Order: sequence, then C-alpha cells, then structure tokens
Amino acid sequence: MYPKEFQYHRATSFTDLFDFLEKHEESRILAGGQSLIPMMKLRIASPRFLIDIRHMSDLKLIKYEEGKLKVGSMVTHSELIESQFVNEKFPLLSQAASSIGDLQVRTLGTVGGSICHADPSADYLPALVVLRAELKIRNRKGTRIVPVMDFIKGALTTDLDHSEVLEEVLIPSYKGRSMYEKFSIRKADFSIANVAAILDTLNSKIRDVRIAVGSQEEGAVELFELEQALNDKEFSLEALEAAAKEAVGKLNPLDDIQGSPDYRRHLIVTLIVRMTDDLYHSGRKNYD
Amino acid sequence: MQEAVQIQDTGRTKYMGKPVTRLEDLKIIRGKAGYTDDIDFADQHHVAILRSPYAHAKIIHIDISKALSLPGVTYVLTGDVVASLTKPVTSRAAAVSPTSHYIMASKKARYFGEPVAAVVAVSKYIAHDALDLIDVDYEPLPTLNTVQDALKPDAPLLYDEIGTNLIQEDEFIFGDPEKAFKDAAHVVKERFSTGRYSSTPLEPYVINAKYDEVRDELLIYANDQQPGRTTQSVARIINFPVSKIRLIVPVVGGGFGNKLVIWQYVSLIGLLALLSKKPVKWVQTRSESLIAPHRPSEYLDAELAVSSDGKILGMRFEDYLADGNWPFNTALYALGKLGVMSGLYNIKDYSFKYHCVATNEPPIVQDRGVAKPFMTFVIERLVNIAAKIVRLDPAEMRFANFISPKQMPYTTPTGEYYESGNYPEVLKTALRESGYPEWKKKQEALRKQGRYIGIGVACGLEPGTSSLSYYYLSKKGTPEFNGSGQIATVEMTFDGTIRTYMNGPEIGTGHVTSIAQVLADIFGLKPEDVMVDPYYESSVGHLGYAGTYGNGFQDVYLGAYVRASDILKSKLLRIASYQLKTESSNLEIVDGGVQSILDVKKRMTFAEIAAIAYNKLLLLPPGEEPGLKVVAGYINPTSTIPYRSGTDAKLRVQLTHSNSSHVVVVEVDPKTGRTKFLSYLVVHDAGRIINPKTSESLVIGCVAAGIGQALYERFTYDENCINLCTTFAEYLKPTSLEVPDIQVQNLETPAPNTVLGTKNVGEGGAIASPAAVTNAIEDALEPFNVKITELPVSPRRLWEMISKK
Repeated sequence: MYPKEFQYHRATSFTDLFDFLEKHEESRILAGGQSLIPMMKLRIASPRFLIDIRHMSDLKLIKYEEGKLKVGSMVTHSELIESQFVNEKFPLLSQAASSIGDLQVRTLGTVGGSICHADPSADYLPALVVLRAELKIRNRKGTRIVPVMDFIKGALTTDLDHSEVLEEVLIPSYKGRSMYEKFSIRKADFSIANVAAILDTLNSKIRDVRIAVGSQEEGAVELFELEQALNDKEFSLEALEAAAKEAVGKLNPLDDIQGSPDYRRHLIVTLIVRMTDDLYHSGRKNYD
Repeated sequence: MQEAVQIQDTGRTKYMGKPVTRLEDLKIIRGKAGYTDDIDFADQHHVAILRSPYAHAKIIHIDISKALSLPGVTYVLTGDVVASLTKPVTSRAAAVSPTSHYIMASKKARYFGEPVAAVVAVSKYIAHDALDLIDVDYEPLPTLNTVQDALKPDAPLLYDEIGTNLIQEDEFIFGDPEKAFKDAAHVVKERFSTGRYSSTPLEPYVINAKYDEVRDELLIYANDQQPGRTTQSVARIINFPVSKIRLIVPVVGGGFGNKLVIWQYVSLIGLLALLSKKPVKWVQTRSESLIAPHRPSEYLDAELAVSSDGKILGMRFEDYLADGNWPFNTALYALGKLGVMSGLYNIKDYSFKYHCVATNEPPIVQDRGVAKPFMTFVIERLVNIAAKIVRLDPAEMRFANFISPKQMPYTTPTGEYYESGNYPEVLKTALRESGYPEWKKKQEALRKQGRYIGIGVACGLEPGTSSLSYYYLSKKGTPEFNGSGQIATVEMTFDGTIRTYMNGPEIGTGHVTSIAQVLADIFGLKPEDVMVDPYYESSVGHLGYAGTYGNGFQDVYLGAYVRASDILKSKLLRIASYQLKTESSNLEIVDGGVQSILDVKKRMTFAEIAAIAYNKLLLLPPGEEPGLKVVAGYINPTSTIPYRSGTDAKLRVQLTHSNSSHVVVVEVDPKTGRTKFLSYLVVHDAGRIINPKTSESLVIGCVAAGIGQALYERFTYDENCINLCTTFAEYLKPTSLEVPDIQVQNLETPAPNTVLGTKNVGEGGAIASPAAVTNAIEDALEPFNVKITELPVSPRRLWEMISKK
C-alpha cells in the first residue's frame, strides 16, 4: 500500500503535457486516479512520473455540436450523471455512469480515465459501443478520430500512444429506447455481466436493435448476429431466448473467483432477455 | 454451584438502562480519538515486513546486503536471527507444540504471507522499497490445501517434529446417543461446511515500540485486544522481563477477535526496537491484514435423531477443521462448540468427535463468536431440515424442543449452565413482530406470480464470559489462563473527581460510556462527569487474561468496576461519617457529595473528602488508611473447574447466556441467484441492558457480519494455496448498500449470576444470522429443491444449485 517514489506534475496546457510526455519515457497520465493510484499502491504499476491532466479546463466540457454529444475526457462520472442534457438526450450514458463504483469513485473518476484504463469490465464500454462512440485523440501535431471498438485492443490495452492524450468522446444522437444493466455481487463491485442495448419499434416490429456485452476477455462485444435475428420481427420471448443463448454461447467472458464463464454467460442471456423484453414493451406494458 | 449474587440495582438506575449518547463519539468524529498510529516518538523509524510468496517452501538463503545499503535503512532482520534470539511459539489448546515455529519463518515458510524478513528504515516508503531489494532463495514444496491433503498417508509434514499433520483429535459422548438413534423415527444426515472468512477491523494492526534507556523498559503502544496476555507472551518469546514491559493500548478501531493474536507482531516489533535501538512503528497494510488471521475452514458431518412428532432425541457430530499452519490456536474452534452444542433445545444424548489438521492456510484466530456461528448454523439448519420431514412449521419444531423457562437454570449434558432465559417468549415475540403469518400468506400469493420469497427463522444462544475452561479437556494439568474474573481500578482524585481506567481496551463497543453510566449511578454523578481513561495501560492493575474479547464485558468486567466502586463508596461514607458525626447508615451520596438523609445541611463534597484522604490525614477516622484508590476483583460465581473422565466431560465454557430469535424475509431471483432482503427482525434477550442504544448497534453490526458470512465472505485459495483475496475488491464485505434495515427488539430476563443482572451483547447477531439467512433462502427456493449446507452461498453458488450444475 506504499507506492514507489514518483514525481508529480500538473499539466497547464497541451504543450506542457506533450513536452512532459516526450521528456519522460517512464511517465503516465493521471486522470481521476481511481485505478492507477490503487495499482501504484499495490506496486502493480510504478511510473516514475505522473502528469495530472484533471485540471485542464479544455478537457472538462460537455458540449452538443453538429448532432454529436462531445464529452471532454476529464469530465467526471458525477458531472455526466448530473448533466440534465445528457440525462434527457443520452440516458444510456447517464445510466452507465451511475452504475460505476461508489459515490467516491464517481466523484473523482473521469470518463477518459475509465476508457483509457480499458478494464474489460468497465461500465462505459458496452454503452459506448452501441452508441457508436468515437474518440478524439490529440498529439502535438493534431488530432485523429478512432471508433471506440478500434480503440480498445484488449484487457488494459488501447490504441493510445505514449505521446497522445484522449481529448473527447464523440457520441452521435440516437433514436429509440435504451438501457444499461449490470450484474455485480455487491452494488459497487465490478460487473460480472453487463449489457447495453438500444431498441426502436415500428408497427410492432423491432428496429435498429443494438446489443453489446461487456466483461469479455476482449472488453465489450456487439452481438451483430443476435441483432440481425431480432430486427424487423415482432417480439417473441422464445425466439429471443434461443437467439440470445446462441449468440452468448460464442462469447469469451472473463473468468475469476466471482463468476465462472458459464455463470456469466447465463447472466448475460438473462439480462439480454429481460432488457429486450422491457425495451420492446416499455410504454405498452404495465410494470410494478 | 455457589449461590447466585443478589442483583444490586436499588437506587442505581438513573443512567443504567438509559440510551445515554456515547461519550466517545464526538472525539472519534472530530478525528481526535487518539489511535495508535496518531502517536509518534522522536526519531521515529518504520518497519516493513517481507512475506513469503509461497504457501510452503524451504528458505535456502536470504541476501539482505542490497537492502542494507539502501540509504535510510538502519536494520534488517531475518528468520534465522529471530530463531536464535527467541523462543518458539507454543500451542495454547493442543497437547503438542512444534519446536520450529517462530514469530518469523526460519528455514521454512508454511503459509502464503508468512513473515520472512523485516526492515527498519527512516520512512515507511524506504522500508517498503528495501523489501524489493531482499533476495530470498526459496525451494517450493507441495502444499496442503485441505483436510484431505493433510491426512493423505504420504502427505508432506508441516512440522517434521510432530510427525503428523493431525494436531489434535478427541471424542465426547454425552448420555446415550446410540439409544436415541435406535428410537428415532427419522434420522437427518448432512455434511455442513464453511469457507475461511474473517472480521476486518477498519484499523489494521499498529505497533510502536521503543526501548527507554532511562527507565530501562520496553515501551509499546499497540492496538491489542488482549494486552494482559500479550505482555506475558512477549516477555517469554523475546526473553525480556515482563516487569520491564509497559504496554499502552490507545483507542482501538475495531477488534472482533482479529486483534487477539497481535502479540506475535508485538514480539517482533519489540525485538526490532531492542535490536535496532530505534523507536520502530509498524502499520499493517490492508493486504497484510487480509492474509491472516482468519477463521478456519471446516466441515462437520451431522446426524440428528428425531421422533415422529418432531422431538429431537439425539445428535452425532464429527468435525474436521483445517486449522492452518499455526498450531497456536488449534482446537479452539472444535472445543468452543461444546458450550452451544445443543443450542436452546432439550437434547440429552449426543456425541462429538473432532479432528484438527494443520494445513498451509494461514493462522486462525478467535473471530467474533468463534465456534458458535457455525455450530448454530449446523443446528438451526438441521432443525429446519427435520421440520420438513416431520411436516412441522420450522417455528413449531423449535417450540416443541425449546428448554422451557421452568427448567431454568438448566444444565446441558456437556455441563454448560444456562442461568436464565425465556426462549419461547423470544421466538413468539419475533414471530408476532415480524408479521410471520402474513409473510407466509404473501409468499404463497407471490409464488404464483413467479416470485420467490422465503421466510427464515433461526434461534441462537449467545454465551458470554469465556471461562476458557475447555483447555482442561485438551491439555494436561491446569491451563495457563482462566477468564472467569476481572479486576478494576476506581479512584477519587485530589479534587474529588471519580476516575477509572479501562480493564480491557476500548475497541469501539461503547465501554467507556457503559462504565461511566454504572459509576455515575453509584456515585450520584452524571456520566460525563465520570473520568474514564480510554487508554489501557499495563501498569494499572490487570489480570493476566485482561482484554476486550470473549463477550465478557457486561459480566465480570463491569462486575469488577461495581466491586471497586462499592469499596470506594464505603470509604467515602466512613470518612464523611466521622467528620459529620453521623452514622454511616444515615448518609447518602447525592450530587458529588455525601450528605445526611436527616439533615441536608450536614454535607461534605467529594473534594472535601478527598482533601482529607490525601492531604489532611489526621482528620481520617482512626485506623482508616489514607488515599482513595481501589483495585478490586470479581469472579463469576458459577465458574467451576471442569470434570473429565474418558469420553464424558462436564464443563462450563461460558458463564452467561443471552439468546435471540431472527426472522428474515428474502426474495431470491432464481435466474441470477441474487438474494434481496425484504425484512430483518431480531428479538434479543441479553438480560439487563446498560445502554439500549449501544446494545442495538452491536446487534445490527453483528447481523451485518453474519450476512457477510452467509452471502459474501470467503478467502479463496488457488491450487498452490495462495490467497486470491488480498484486497477489498476480491474479499467482499457487505456494505451499507447490501445490509438491510435491521429491526431490533429487546426482552430482558436478568442473569441471576452477574452483579447487575446483565448478560453479554457483542456476538449474538453474528451467531444466529447465517442460519436465519440461509433458512430464508432455502425456503424461497423450495420449488427448486435446493438444500444449503455450505457457507457462503454466493449468487453463483445458488445459481449452480438451482440449475443443478
């Protein structure tokens, strides 16, 4: 619980940030510190230099421009939850943010920190996948845009180069109803199974359904086959269950002491069935 | 048996029994409580401990040269040096002791995380950096992960000198169990088991030690739960006179039994202070605290003989305990079961066999309730399973077997003496207050909608005041210690203030306030005017087993304060009587003074009496000694020396017996295995209650611990016996988001054998709750025919049982 010696620098501008990263090979960007600091205390990570970007005001904005929600990477989970605009127009994102950890983590943890840490069970990942989110990455020379699916390269691995920083998350507006569900042992634990879904209906038929599952070896995975099986059809519980089972059978859920792959697959199917049922019927069916 | 003590409560109830707000809390909330880590010596140095990455390995060589050359490092200690300077750790209950087990591993490490070296440095960061520079050459050995591993004929030995991994076993037969089983209409047969789990106090172990050359003493601050024993253990282990050890226990951030084995580390840090000639502080990290100590994992083969009308005729138990690497506490979790084996029931004929095995799991400790939560889980699960067979409601089955209030005081076949209690009334109240019949109806209605509600009932005995007399059964001769009594110091200071000292450490259980309430009533003061020093100091008079543990406070600890106060009070009255020229019997204590009941003008303040006792000595009554400090003791009169003959034994393990009934309502989602609480009620009878608020919060905290045992907590080990749960991300404690709103109601059946009629309240919630919760879950899942015999039942485990995987 005692980290190795390290130096701390608070970035004042992008130039300052890029200078620092260039100068110090063994440096890490510090965002909210909700994963990095515990890893340092356990000496799993021992960067010699930390550059703190939490105070860069450019990274703390929530904007809506050109039909896209733009969330600065240093926006905290709590700030996202508290944004009325996000809550109304991008409820899926609010829901995912509210499911993260506990109040302390949500107060300090940031959207960008969570994405760049790339924990495969992170709450944002499946939500961002179905939202077709893109990430704006900046380095000294300029910016590039990467779809979130391409950014996450695997557990704790991303497309981000040492000389780069995640600047913004870009999320296009979406139609239809959406839902994020997480199953964890305790309320504030990492998810064992988490699913994000968007679904629209036209003439009682499912349209534009998107379903992504998190907590997989590779992070989050979208279930295209399942989507195809459901689209343009009326809701049928039996068909849904069968298709979900088939799609989920091909997944590679994480395996740890809290949940075996078998149990996780079963939970994912349960979540998908319940969520799809809810999303399809919401507004037409009475729930307690 | 000796005669029961008269309950002396006349005129003493102005504050006793009232929900006085805790005097401790304001300081704690303001960060001014004064914990061990808040105290620094000048030139403070810090300790970090290197721990074995293997659960079983020979230590071939340790190279400390790189660590020693790190700037800021002043001393490095290794196991071989420890072995050459100290005595081995010995068994407390087991008949055999290894000779190769020291407070630091020497030659061989026997559990993952066992200390193998320690560093003293000028800062804790440097000390931890130095750990990375110590090179240890290990030769890994095959590990003993389970009882079965350890008992294999060709199993490697944990201790060569003992010659077996089976450290202790024994058999007891009470009455005629054979006949009981012959007469039985039904026999329930199950294997029950529990994984390793543990309390996790917010404040881990903290020790700060310094050798004071001027006073020639080893001064130690430590958050120790049993300092009376620690000073003696440290003295023996490090060969230092006990008279020269001063141990101060500041306010402790939670004990739960976890801090009963801190003496191992107090010895180590004390030794480091002597060797390094520096004041050295060690603050255990959370991961270190999760490595050890724990409760043992165990399984128990149980048989219950039942008549056709639901009467329990007899029991047979055979218990297998994986007591970990450390024989020190071996057998405690077996022997401790004797006190509550037949629970609240009229059961005459039963037998008990136990086998305690050494494994490569870490040391065990007397965690809250010790053997009682699991024993109660076994009995209360058996009763539920039997009730189903004889088609009785689980509550009815209990009423049919309860010891009735008319049988009190009741002596069990093992010799345990239940001094008082009204078990049927407690359960009746619990059923009524929880709305038991209404929930039953609701359960039926909801089941038709595919919702699975379950109602669980469990009744638990909560023994208090551990006499520790089971040591008589496992070792020859008179055991080293006995816990049947306590002493206390009460004094009046120069200015007439009543001051007292902790006779057990303040561990957050409200003892300061309870003591103040009792003394306030005795001396006619307000609780806030009684000075209770929250620090425990070894230099104030103490018994050898003094500590805050074993659920003894309300009995012998408070009893000793009452005895000392009574003696002091009599002296105050004698001095005043002489001065006021009034018979002592015509005097009373009112508002910080002594006055005549006939003439209120005849009055002396405490300050005036103190001035005579300390300063104006010639005004004392003839023959009266000067001074106003009293050290007095008290032994619970029902304690006796145990009897043992062959497989028969009679012993009083504990001396008071509270009890409680829990009614729990849960809803289980059969698709996910998730358990949700809908209602939780406890009716608790702990005799007279000194502080209802404290008592209620203890019950709630205990239930939360029991819920942890039932649903969440388990140290999981991999195939190499490595603990996979060394942070709170893996070792799951229930949080305020998981623990339901727990309702507590009290009944009061006074104890006839304690000074104040009080019984103990610190464990009951934890004893019956695992049984109550699992009974509720099993009831909810009745349509799925799930039987719970194993703790904890995680959502995954429940799902596996529901889907028969």
